[in-house]
Amino acid sequence: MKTITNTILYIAVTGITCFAADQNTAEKIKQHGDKSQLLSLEQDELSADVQDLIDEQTDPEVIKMLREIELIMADATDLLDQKNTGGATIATETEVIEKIFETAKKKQENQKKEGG
Amino acid sequence: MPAKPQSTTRQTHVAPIPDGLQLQLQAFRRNLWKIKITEALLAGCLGLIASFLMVFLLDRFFETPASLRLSILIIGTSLLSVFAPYWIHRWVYRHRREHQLARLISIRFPKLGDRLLGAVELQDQKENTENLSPQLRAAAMRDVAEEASKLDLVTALPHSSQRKWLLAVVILSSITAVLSICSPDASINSFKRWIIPYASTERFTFTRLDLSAIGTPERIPYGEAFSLTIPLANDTDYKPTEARARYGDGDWVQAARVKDAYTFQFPGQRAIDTVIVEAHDARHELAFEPVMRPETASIEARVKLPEYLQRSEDASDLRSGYISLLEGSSMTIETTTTRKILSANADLVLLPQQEPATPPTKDSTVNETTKQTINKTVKLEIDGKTLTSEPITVAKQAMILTVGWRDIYKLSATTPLQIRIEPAQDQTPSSYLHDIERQHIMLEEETIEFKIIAEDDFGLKACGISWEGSFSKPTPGNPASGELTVTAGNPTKTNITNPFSFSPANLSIKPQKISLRSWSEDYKPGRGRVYSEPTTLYILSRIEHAQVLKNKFDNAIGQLEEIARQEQNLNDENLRTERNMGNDLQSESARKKLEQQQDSEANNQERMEELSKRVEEIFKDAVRNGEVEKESLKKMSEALQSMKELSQQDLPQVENKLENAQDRRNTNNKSKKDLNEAIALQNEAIKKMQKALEDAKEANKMFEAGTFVNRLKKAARTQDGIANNIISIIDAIVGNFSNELDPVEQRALSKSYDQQRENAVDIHWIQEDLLNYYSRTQKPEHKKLHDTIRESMVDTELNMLAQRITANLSYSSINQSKFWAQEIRKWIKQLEGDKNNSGGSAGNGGGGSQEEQDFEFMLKVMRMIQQEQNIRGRTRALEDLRRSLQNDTQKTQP
Repeated sequence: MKTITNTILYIAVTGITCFAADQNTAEKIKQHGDKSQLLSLEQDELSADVQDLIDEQTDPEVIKMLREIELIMADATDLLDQKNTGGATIATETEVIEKIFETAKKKQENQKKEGG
Repeated sequence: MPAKPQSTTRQTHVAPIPDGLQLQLQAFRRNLWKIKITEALLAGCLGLIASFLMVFLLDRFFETPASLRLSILIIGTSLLSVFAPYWIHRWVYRHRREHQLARLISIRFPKLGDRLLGAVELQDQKENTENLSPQLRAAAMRDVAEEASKLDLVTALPHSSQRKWLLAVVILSSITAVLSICSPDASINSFKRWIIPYASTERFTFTRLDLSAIGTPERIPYGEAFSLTIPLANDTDYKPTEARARYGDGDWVQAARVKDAYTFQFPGQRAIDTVIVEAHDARHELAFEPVMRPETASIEARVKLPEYLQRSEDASDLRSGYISLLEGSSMTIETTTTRKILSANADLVLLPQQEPATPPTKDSTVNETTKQTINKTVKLEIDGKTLTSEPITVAKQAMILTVGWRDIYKLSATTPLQIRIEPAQDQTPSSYLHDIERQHIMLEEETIEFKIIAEDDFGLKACGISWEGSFSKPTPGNPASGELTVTAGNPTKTNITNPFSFSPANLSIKPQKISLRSWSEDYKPGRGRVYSEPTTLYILSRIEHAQVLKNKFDNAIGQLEEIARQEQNLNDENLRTERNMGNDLQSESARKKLEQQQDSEANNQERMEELSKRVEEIFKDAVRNGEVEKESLKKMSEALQSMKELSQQDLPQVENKLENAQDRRNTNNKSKKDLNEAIALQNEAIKKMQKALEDAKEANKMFEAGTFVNRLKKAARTQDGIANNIISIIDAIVGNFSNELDPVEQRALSKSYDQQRENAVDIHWIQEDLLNYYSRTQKPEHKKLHDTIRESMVDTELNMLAQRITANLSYSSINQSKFWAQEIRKWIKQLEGDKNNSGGSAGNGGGGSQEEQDFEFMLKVMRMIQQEQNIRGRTRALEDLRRSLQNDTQKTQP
């Protein structure tokens, strides 16, 4: 009788523990999805900032590059919205950073040309 | 022509000889036959007895070869089988008729013999009238018979040695009888060996040795001195006090009898040979073959670690004679030798626990063995050349296992095999965070990357991170706390290096102080996790971050002032030098002075370089922060640019000119000219420093004003946000008690309550900071604002507002929240008026110029890059989180 009681208790405790662990994991998975979509929104806001920057520019080459950045940012936004945080998304974000650097450099070069 | 043989008994004759004569001849023949047959029989017996005795005699001295024994037997039996028939044939068969007897008698009595032969021949003569008269024939026969009757024909018998032969037979028979009585075993043995020479009857000796333990051949260790012990057999009749033996043609080795055995000591041998052993009448030839001793071909331990480690059996080479094993492990030793094993034994010695764990040496092994405490015998299984021990469980003490064996030649190894088994403990795993400073300041939305390194001696179950937060100021809500399993290990994984991105925003961690640790866990039951030293992360809001930057910038300005003062002092000293020593700058003292000035200049240049790097970092952080205003950043960048120019161009030029002034090849005028140029350049540098200092101070003013403004702006926004939140749910909550509300609305009100409490705390700290700032700067506008805020009793009011929110006094809450938002904005205007007054020059400096536009563009681009980097960092952190969830899932799965 004691053995049966102990077995039932063990199964119950194990079950509760597993259930709690599963619930915790499910919460974290949800957290991952929510945060990814939050990042997607931030990426979208940054894309809007790029649009504002385009409006302020007069140099066609810089404008062209900024438009390209906007497109790549849109890709990153979509990926994050799909809760994709893997290598593809990080590569896209890296491309955005590199492209912004290039744009800044291009702007400086063109300024020098104009100044020269 | 010889007469035709007739019957030995009665013959029919024409005229038989007289009866008397005939009886005489018959008697003669009977005697002759008796003698000769006796002689033949005696000779046969003599041969047999003599040959037996010959074998008996020879066996007493040496091992009579079977061939010799056969020869003796043949010779012995040939007297009976060959000589006796021949003798009988000669004397019996060939002396059966009267004429044969007459001839034999004629040897002794020639005259009688001839007449007797004539009489015998007349018996069968045919009567013829012409040449024979029967009367005459009868008369002749009578004469011969008469003459013969006068003689004893026995004397005509040939010489006989039958008595001598008989004597010899009697003597030899007696000897045989005596020997048989005295030594029946030897006699029977010799008889067997004599009668069946090629039978495997061993030679009987009175001294008998027990050779059952001697192999055929007996193997001895190659080239090593050896001893040979031969015991006496239990049934030996004689026990000689000494025996001798020799190896091949070597010298005889003597051995005394000790406990009924003889032990011979032989020098080392290399060739196969025979050992001759002699003890009294025993003599044995034993084959010996020197062979190399058996060696260990391989030795390995099959180790089964404790069950909890979940590891499969592993093999370890034991040729070093040392193995360290985890306590509780089970080990089976398998040894392969160069020769098949006959017998083996193994003893386990458990050493005292205080034994130091050092690898054994020959000497130490002996010493340790003497300290042994517990002995156990280990069972061994022999299979050809392989020796397998029973499982040995590793205890708490060190153990020494000694394995000895004998091969099929009964040879043992030169030294017994000794293995030291050292118990080891399952060490606790270690874990640490790599590529991260012990203290790190970061913004909420930033990501910090580092490596989690975990190590264990037997296998890591998992590793991860955990964090524990604490608020540095009163803040509603609970401090952050959590953990993640970053990598799931396995029983064989002893090292884990895993890069990880930690993003507070992703983990919903508010600004606070976080104690971050990595942890690792091994498979030992009940051990639990082992944590690393903590790394403290100061997660700041943008406003807090800006405040930190402000403090850093204050410090940088102080250093810049110090450098400027130093440069001015150096300039003064250069002027003094020029004035006092200008006419004699080539003197030793002047050059020394210039050298000192040059060193000081170099030192100042280094300080300037370091400072410009620090300011550059502050500038980058300020850009990253996002709350620092454009004008402030612009001034900061101008100051930074000046500082860079000073450290890279202006100050090195001054230093260079001072060096030129010291040149020995210079004329005094040239040195003076260089010194003057140095002073002129130095004056320019000082002016630039003053300009950089002014720019920095101006940036600082805008910075500090902006900080308060931004903090107040945020507070106002929060109050608006709270009001709007309540407005959005007003229809659902109005007129209800808070405990009657739907959980959704309850949660929304709870969130607003938290925000209100948090905002109240923020405003409290703004007041504190304003007062502190005033204490330092003594600027009245800050004091004035502080007093205004204090007088408004905003702390109390906002806390009361929080209570209203939680009590669902919705309209009141909305009104109060909007009211305080407006009040805060008034304070902002009050401070902004001050800011515009103090920073007016920056704001009115032609904001639309190309230069400003370019700066603004670059600033935006830099912020954009920073933001994108933040997004990327948080994406990476989310990916790490996702992977850690996979690890959690794996862990929970059975």
